Amino acid sequence: MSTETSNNDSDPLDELLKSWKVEASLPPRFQEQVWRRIACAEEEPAWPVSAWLLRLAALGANLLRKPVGAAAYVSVLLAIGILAGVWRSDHYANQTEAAWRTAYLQAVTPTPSLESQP
Amino acid sequence: MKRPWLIAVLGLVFAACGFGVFYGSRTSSYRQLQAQCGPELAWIKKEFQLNSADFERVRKLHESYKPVCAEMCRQVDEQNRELARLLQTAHEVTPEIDQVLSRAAQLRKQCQTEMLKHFFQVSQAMPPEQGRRYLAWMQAQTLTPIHDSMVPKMGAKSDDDRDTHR
Repeated sequence: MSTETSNNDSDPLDELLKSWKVEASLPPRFQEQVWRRIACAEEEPAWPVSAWLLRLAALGANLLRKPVGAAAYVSVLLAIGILAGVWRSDHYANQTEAAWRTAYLQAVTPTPSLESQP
Repeated sequence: MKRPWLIAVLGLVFAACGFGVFYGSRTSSYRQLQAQCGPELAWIKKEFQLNSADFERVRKLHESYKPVCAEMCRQVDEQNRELARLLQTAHEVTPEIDQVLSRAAQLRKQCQTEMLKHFFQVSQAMPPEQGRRYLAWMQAQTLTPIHDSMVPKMGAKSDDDRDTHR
């Protein structure tokens, strides 16, 4: 009963809301953009890289908290560093020897300069 | 909470140190040798495992040969320039071109003679086995039919050398 009464009564706010008209115009393709945003938000990420990275970081942190894990990690990195050093030094040695050999041959062989060659 | 990060950084530091120590120690002899002998003679010393006395003899021979070689290079350049000048206007082999080619051939012979003399002298300044290896290698590099010009096969190693070396 009371609801009927309230419906029949004319609320000034209702009147005011009814009379309110929005005059501002929406930006172009507003609706389409809204739907696209909703679609993006609902879409599942194809490859949740960040989730995997977080999981990996957590796993790594757990590993490093254990003495055995920490020792293994440091040992592996040390071995990688040593192997890289050996590999790069071999490369340096080969390059250097080739450069020396070329320099020696150029020094003892009368080689015409490139500018003078017909 | 800080400990995993500390260990992670420590691992990287260890890796960098391992790299630095091994790279530095394995390449220092090359840098030292180059600083001592220069790039040309560093190769001779290392490749033919010369001791100080042998190396000193080779160094003296090398130093005395360098001006001779430079003079021959100058003459070869001169001949090439002259030939290029003549070829710019010629439509056939003129007597002048013929003359320049004859002089170039004579010069090539002289260059090869001087070069071979030097190779023999250097090979004799080394221990016999190394001297033979040096001579074979230098001849293969400079007097092969493909490289009848005086331009050597830069940086190449002969197959014989690969077999005998090390």
